[in-house]
Amino acid sequence: MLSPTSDHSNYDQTIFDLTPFPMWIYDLKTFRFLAVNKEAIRHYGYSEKEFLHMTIKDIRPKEDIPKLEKAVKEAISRTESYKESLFRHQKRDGSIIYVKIKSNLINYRGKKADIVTAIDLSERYEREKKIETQKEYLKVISLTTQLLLKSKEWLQALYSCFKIVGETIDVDRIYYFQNDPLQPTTSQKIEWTQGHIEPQIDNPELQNISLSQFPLFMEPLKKQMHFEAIVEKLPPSSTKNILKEQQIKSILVLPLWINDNFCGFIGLDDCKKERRFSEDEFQLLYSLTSNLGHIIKQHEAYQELYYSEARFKSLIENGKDLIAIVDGKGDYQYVAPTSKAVLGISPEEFIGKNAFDFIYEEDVPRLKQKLGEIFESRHVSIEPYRFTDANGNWRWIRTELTNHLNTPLIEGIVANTQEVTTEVKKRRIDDLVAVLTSAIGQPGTLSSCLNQALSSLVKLSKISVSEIWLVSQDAQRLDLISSDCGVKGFSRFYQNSKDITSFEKGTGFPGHIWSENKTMLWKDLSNNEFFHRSEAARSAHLNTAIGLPIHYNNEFLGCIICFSQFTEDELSEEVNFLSEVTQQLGAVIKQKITEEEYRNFFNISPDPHCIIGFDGYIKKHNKAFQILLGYDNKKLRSTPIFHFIHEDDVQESQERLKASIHGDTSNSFEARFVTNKGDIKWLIWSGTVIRESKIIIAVAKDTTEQRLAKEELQAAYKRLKTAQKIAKLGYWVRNFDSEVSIWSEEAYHIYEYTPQEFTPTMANITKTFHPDDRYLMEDDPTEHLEPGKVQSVEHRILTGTGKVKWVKQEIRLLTDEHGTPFRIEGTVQDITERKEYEEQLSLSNERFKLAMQASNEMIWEIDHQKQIITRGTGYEQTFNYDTSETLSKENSWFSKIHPDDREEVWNTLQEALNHKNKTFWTSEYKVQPSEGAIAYFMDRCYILRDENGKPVRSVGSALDVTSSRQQLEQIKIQNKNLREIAWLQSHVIRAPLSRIMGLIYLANELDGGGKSKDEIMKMIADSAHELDDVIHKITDKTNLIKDEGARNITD
Amino acid sequence: MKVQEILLIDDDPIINFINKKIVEPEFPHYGIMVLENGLQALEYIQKNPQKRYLIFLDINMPVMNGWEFLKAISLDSGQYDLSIHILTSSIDESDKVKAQSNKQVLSYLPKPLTKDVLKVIK
Repeated sequence: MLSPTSDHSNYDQTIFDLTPFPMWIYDLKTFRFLAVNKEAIRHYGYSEKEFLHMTIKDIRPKEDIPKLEKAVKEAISRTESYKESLFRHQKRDGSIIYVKIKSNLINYRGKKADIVTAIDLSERYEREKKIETQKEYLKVISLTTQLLLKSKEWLQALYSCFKIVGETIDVDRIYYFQNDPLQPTTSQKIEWTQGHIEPQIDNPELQNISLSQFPLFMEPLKKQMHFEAIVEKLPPSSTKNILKEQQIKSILVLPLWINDNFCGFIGLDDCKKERRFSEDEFQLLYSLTSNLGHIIKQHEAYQELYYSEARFKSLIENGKDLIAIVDGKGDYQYVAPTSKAVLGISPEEFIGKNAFDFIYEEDVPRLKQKLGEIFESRHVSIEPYRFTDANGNWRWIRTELTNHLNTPLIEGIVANTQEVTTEVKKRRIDDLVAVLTSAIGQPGTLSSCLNQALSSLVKLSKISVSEIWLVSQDAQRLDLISSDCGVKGFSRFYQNSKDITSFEKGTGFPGHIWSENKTMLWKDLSNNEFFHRSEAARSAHLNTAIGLPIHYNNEFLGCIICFSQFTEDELSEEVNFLSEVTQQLGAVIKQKITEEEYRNFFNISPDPHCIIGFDGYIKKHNKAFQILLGYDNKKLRSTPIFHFIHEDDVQESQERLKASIHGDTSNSFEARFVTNKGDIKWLIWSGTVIRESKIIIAVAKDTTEQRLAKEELQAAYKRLKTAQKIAKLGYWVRNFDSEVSIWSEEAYHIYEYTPQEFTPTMANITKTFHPDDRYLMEDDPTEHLEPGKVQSVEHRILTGTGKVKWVKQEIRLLTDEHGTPFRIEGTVQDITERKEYEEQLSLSNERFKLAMQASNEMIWEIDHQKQIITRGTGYEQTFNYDTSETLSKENSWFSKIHPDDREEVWNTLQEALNHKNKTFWTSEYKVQPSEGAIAYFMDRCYILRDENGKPVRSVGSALDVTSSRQQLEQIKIQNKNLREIAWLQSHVIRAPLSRIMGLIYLANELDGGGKSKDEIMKMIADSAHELDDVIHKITDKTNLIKDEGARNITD
Repeated sequence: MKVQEILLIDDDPIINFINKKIVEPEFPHYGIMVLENGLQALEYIQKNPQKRYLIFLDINMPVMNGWEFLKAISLDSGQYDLSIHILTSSIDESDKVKAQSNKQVLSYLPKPLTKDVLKVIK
C-alpha cells in the first residue's frame, strides 16, 4: 500500500486508489513495484501482493524490455519530472495492451521512485490500425481494379493483382484456375508466389485436372460459396494429403462465376500459419474475383466481336460470293468488293445502276416476280439465271434474297449470290444425256429408239433438224438410221434429199466427220459445195450443220448431225454443249447396236441364250432357252436364274456371276439346270458382261446328251476294268511298227510290275516267259496266226516278284484293208489257280481210283451233275453190277436190293442228298444176288456240297456184312438157350429144391407142422424125383446147344 | 381199424402149407389166405379192397405169374393197402433186379421162408 510521506497521506491514498486509471509507484533503482492502485490490480489481473513482488519488467512483453530499460534510464536522468510516452504492456492473462504512460519522479519512503499512470489506449490503437489496413485494402482494390480494367492482357494484369493482394494480406501463393467450357476439367492459368515458395505454374499435373478430384472444395464452389480451411483440421482425405505435402497450412478458394456459369476459381495458400481470413480480406478478394469475372466476360465479348468481325471481313473480301444490297426496285445500294474478282466489275460501277440492266433478257420476268415476293417473305431463293460479266459473257448465278428493309443501318434487300455457271452447264448436259440415254435404252428397235432420242435434240431452241448416221456392218459406209425434223416443219429438208441415205468415208458431211473424227461445223449450207444436200438445206432454211462423232472406246460408231437456222457465231455454246452430250452417248448407242445385232441372232439360235441382270434375274431369253427348261415366259422372267440351277451348283454359279461382274473374263463354266419336269440339263455357259447396262449376255450349250454318253462310257470302262480285275484279265496291243506293246492296268497287275519299272518291249516280254515256254515267242506270229481269228495259248510266266504264274493268252491278228497284218492284240488271264486246282484234282482222282481198286468194299461215287454213279469193283464178281451207270432205283445195284428194303434205302438216300445240311448217309439192307440168296450190306456215304447246299459229289462205301450178320444170329440163339437154362436152374431146379429145404425146416423147426415124419419124407422124396427130372431136362438142353455150336463151327 | 390179412400166393400146395405154418405164429392177429395164382389173388383183393394185406408172392405160377399180377394190380394200386414181398425159388440176378425196380415190391425173398426172415419183415 502506498504510504504517503506527506501529511495529506490519507487523502492521497484515497486519490491514488480511486483514480480510474491504473497507477503504481516503482523503485527507479530496482524497478520493483512499491505501490499499485485498485484500478491497476483490476486492469492487469495481478493481486496487490503479486505486484509488490514484481518489477515493472514483468508487465512488459519480453521483446520490449530493452525499450523499457532505456526508458527508465532516461527517466532517472531526466530533469523534468513529467514524462509521457506510449508502451506495450502485458496483462496477467498474456494479452497485450497499448498504454500511454505518464510518470512523475517522487521520493517514496526515502527511495527514488517514479509514480506512473497507465492509460489503456489499446481499443483506439486497434481501431486506428484497422482503419489503416482498410485504407490499404481500399487502395489495393482500387489498384487491382484499375490494373484489370486498363490492361489489354488481362492475365498479365491478374498476375500483378495477385502480387499486390498477396503481399498485402500476406499469403504465400495466389493462383487462378480456369475451367474448361466443354468438359469438367480445370487448368491453372496464373500463379503468384512469395519469393521462398516454389511456383507450380509449370506443373503439368495442374493442367486439365478433373473437377471431381477436389470434391472437398468443389462442392461449396459450385454453390457459389467460398471454401476456407485450416489444413490440419480437415478430415482425412486426398485433398488434405496434397495440401499437406505442399506445406500449406491455410487455404481459401473463391469461385469465379460468370453469367451463372462456374468458370474457375482463385485460391490463396498460407504456408506459414493457420489463419482465418478477415472480413476485410474477404472484401478485397471478393472485389478481385468480381472484377475478374467482369473482365473475363468483357474480354470474351470483345474476342467474339473481334472474331466475328474478322470472319465477316474475310468472307466479304476473300469469298466468291457476291453480296449486294438493293432497294425494292433492284437499284444497287451496296456491292461487296468480291464483284471485281468474280465478275470483273468493280463495286463502284454497280452503284446507281439497276440489277435488271445486267440480267439476261429471258430471265428478267422471272426475277422481277421473285423480287416482288421478297416484300411478303423474309427469304426468297432464285434459281440460276444469266448475268453479264465485264466481258459481256453470260454467267449463270443463283441468288438468295433476304429482306432487311426494316433493319436499321441496312434498310435494303440483301442479295447473296453464287456463280453456278459450271454446275448449270453440267446439269444441262447431264439432263440431256439422261433423256437421250433413256430414250436409246428403251425396248424397241435401234431406229425407233434413236428417233426418240433425236426428237429431244430438236427441242433445243437453236436446233431444227437432227439425224444420226451409223457405220454399216461391213464398215464401208455410213447409213442414215434416223432423223427428226421437230415440230417446226423442217421435213422439207428430207423431202428434197430422199435419195441420200449413205456416205462413204470422206464424202458428204457425215463422211467428213468420219474421216476427220472430230466435232465439225459447216456453215452456209446452201452454198457449201461439199454439202450434198445443199438444195434441201436451202429449201428448209437451214444454215449451219454441227457434226458430232459418236465413239465407243475409240471406235467410231457414227455421228449425230444437228442442223440450225442460226449462224456459226450464234451457235458456239450449242456446239460445246452438244459435243459434251454426244461424247457420253457412245456406250448406250454401242449397246443398242449390239443389242440389235444380238437380237437378230438371239432368236434364231438353237442354243439357249439369255440376258441376265446383275441381280440374277433373267431379263430376256430366247426360245431355245424356254424350250430347254419348259417354263413359261412369266416364270422365267420373274425368277432369279439360280432358281433353275441344281442346288449343288448354285453356289459356284453365284460366285462365277459375281466374278464376271467384277471383271473376271475367264472361260466358260458348266452347271446343271433343272427343267420343269425335274430333268437335269447340263449347260456350258459363256457370257459377256455389259457393265453399263448391268447385264450379262449369256450363251449356253446343252451338253446333257454328250455328258450322259460320256458318263456311260466312263461307267462301261469302269465296269470293264472291274471285270478285268475280277477275271484277272489283262489286255495288250502292239502295232507291228513298234517294239513296245501297250498293256492294260490289269496286265501289269498279273505280271506284278508297275508301268514305271517295266516297259513291255519284245525283249522284256520274252524274259517274262518261263524258260520252258519261251519257244512260244520264237515264232513269227504273222505266220501261224490266221487274221481275225482268236488263238489261245497257255503258258507260264515269271512275274516281277519272282513268282511262277500260269496265264492263258487269247491272241488276234489285225490286218488292214489289203490284208497286211499291222497289229496284234490279245488278252492275258491269270489261270494259276485253275491250273493248280486242275493238277490237284487230277492227283486226287488218281488216288481215288487207286483206293477204289484196292478196297475190299464197294467204293462208289455220285457225280451229281451228270447223275452218274461210279462203283468200285469190290463185289463185282459176286453181285454182278455195273461199275458206272445212271443213279436210279432201277439200276443194276438198287434193283438187287431186297424188295423189303429197296424203297426205304432209296428214299433215305434221296432225303439225305436233298437236305442242304446233311453230309452223311448210312443204311443197312439186304441184297438178293440170286433167287433165294440173301446178303447183308452196310452202306454209307459222305456228301460234298457247294455254298448253296447243293450236292456236288458224294462218295460212299458199301460193305458186305452177311457173314458177321449170320454169326450174330447164331449167338442170339445160343444166348436164348443159355437164358432158358439159367431160368430152368433158377425156377425149375430150385423149386423142388427149395421145397425140400422148406420141408426140412418144417420138420426140424416147426416139428412137422402137424405132418407126420412119413408124410414129410414122402413129400421130400417126391420133390427129389421132381428135381431129378428137371436136371435131366437141362442136360438134354445143354447137349442140344453143344450140338448146334459144333455144327456151326464145321459150317 | 382195418382187417389185416396175409396172402400166400403160390401154386405149390406144399410150399403154401409150410409157409402158413411159419407165418401163423409170427402174425397171430392176421388172417391167412392162400391163393394159387396171381389171378385168384387179384380177384380176391378186388373183392375185398378195404383190407390191409401182407402179400408173399411167387413168380413162376400158371394162369397169371407174379410179374403179371404186379402189373395188373399196379393199374389201381392207389385203392389198396398192400405190402408185397416176392417169395421165389429163383436166385436169378435178372429176377432180383426186376423186382427191385418195381416200386410195389418191398423185398425179394428167396425160398425157403424162415422165421428169421419174417422178423426182418416185421
